[in-house]
Amino acid sequence: MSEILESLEHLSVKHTDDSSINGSNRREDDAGSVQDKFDFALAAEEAVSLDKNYILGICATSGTEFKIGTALSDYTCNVYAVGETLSKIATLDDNKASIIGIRFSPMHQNLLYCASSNGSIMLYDLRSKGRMVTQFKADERDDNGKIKSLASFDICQDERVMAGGTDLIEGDVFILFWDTRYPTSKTHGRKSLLGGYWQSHTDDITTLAFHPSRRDLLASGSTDGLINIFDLTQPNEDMALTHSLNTESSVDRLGWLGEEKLWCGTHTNALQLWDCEGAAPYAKFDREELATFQSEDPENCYIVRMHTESLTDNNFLLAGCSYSKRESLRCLTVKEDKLKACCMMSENKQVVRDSWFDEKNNYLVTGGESGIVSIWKQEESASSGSNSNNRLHPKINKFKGRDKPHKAKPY
Amino acid sequence: MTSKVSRDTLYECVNSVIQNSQDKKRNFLETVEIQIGLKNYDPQKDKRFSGTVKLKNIPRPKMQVCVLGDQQHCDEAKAQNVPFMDAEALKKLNKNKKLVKKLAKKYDAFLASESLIKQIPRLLGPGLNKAGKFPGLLSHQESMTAKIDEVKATIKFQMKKVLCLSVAVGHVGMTPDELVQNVHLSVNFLVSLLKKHWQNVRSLHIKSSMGPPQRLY
Repeated sequence: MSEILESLEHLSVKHTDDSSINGSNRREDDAGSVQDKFDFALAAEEAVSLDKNYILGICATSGTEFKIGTALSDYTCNVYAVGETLSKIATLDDNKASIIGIRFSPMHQNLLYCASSNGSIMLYDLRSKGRMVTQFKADERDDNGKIKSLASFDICQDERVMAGGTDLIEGDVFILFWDTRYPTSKTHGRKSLLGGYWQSHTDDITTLAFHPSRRDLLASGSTDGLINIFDLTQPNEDMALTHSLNTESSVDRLGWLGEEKLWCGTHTNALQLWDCEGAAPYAKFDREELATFQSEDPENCYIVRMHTESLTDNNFLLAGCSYSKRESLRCLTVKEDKLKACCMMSENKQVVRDSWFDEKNNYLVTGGESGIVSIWKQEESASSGSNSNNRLHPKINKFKGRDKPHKAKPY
Repeated sequence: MTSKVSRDTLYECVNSVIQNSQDKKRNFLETVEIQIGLKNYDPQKDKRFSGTVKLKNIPRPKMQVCVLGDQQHCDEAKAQNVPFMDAEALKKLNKNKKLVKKLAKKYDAFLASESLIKQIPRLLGPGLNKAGKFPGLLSHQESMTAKIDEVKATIKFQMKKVLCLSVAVGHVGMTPDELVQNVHLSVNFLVSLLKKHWQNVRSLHIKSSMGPPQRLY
């Protein structure tokens, strides 16, 4: 009897031990999730133009020098260097058509690629005051004079190959590839246009994304609702097409989340999360659901882009809401298939159209319809609303030069 | 947000569309479409206007949907007299472009079981993609007929470079109530996607294939 009692005691002791361990684990988990929470504080701001130009695309360097490139709706690109304030270092105005993509070269911080809808991708060198160095054209042959108008572009991480997606041209739509080593303008023996795929989509290709680490993997999204994943090592398109994912909507933007997963934003302002091997999205949030996280009216909500921190595997969605009086912007963290409201960026003044996240320095750069570039510094939110100002990057203070020209909405 | 089209105008227009088609019978079932003209919208600057919407009532009843199924779905399709193909039949096409094209032409849409949908690019190549008929997912949790009806009831809209767009939302064989429901649903959805909502709408018409347009807004 006493033995049994003893053993029972043992058990119960063990039991309590276990529970306490579990409890502490749980607390640690909670603590972990608290650490996941972060805030973005406005660090600098600059209006890029006095006219009613939108910023349609934005990108930044992730190296030692902090530069920002903006693509405006009047076909020009402005490049800024970020120091104490934002200072314009170049205006690129060779473009004759709307800019559909802008990217700094992944290898060289002074080279900027800029793709325009008239079918050419320009490469600028910022050291020579933004002189156009080379140009890549969608169609090198001038047999029928038709221009393949581009709708999307991306460069692979090691900058060897560049891909461009076209609009629908007489029933065909192309994904074109260029070898970045051989520009069109110089008369090398070789052509830079390597070839293209034209059988996997039926409508404008709105977005392309190379895999962040596997340079031969390309994901494409189109208004026909498909996401296609290609293995570029294969000899032809039939074999290269490894996965087709049917979003049953119209794809606006997409990107990779880690090794095997993709996020996709649709033109109906819904977010879908896919596994490459999946038959259906493993998570799907339509506009109404996204609106509940922002406690706003779904009709005014929009999504901007998803960003990832590859080290911590944290993903967050940038989403906004536009009213006649105020423009709200929020981050929603995405964990597996759950979405959680994370932080509110109350200093936002515009409808944000594009954003760039620099995970090395934890900066978020946004640009939008009032033509304002905003730089946000990420900080962990540990109930530190008051001293958050002290934590700003010492180099960057709020820009105070001029009054902001776009206090009122343009309409 | 309140709709700018009153219930009365909606019924009035829908009734006159149906009346017109009855006055002058055609040899086919006329489709009813809505046409939207936009204003204050710059295709160069503003977001694309594109997507899909699921309607309450099926606008295209004649649509042929083929099921690319696993064993269970094939049996179910057989029982319900739905055209179907299994993995073996697809393998026989052997990525042959002509045969895949022929298959794509035969049906208006496809649905596939989970195990098959992942293999489609490997089995058929990009043929179905090229035809714009890549299958939707048919899971075992939902009923086959319901899913087929969902496919038939889903319409796609997209605005290209011109500031207008038209979408088929029904046919003249539908009752006025059904048509009104569809028109109402699609108009509200489309307007909700516009940045300034009704302030972006220049005009709104409803018409049948051969009949005169009726102005809603």
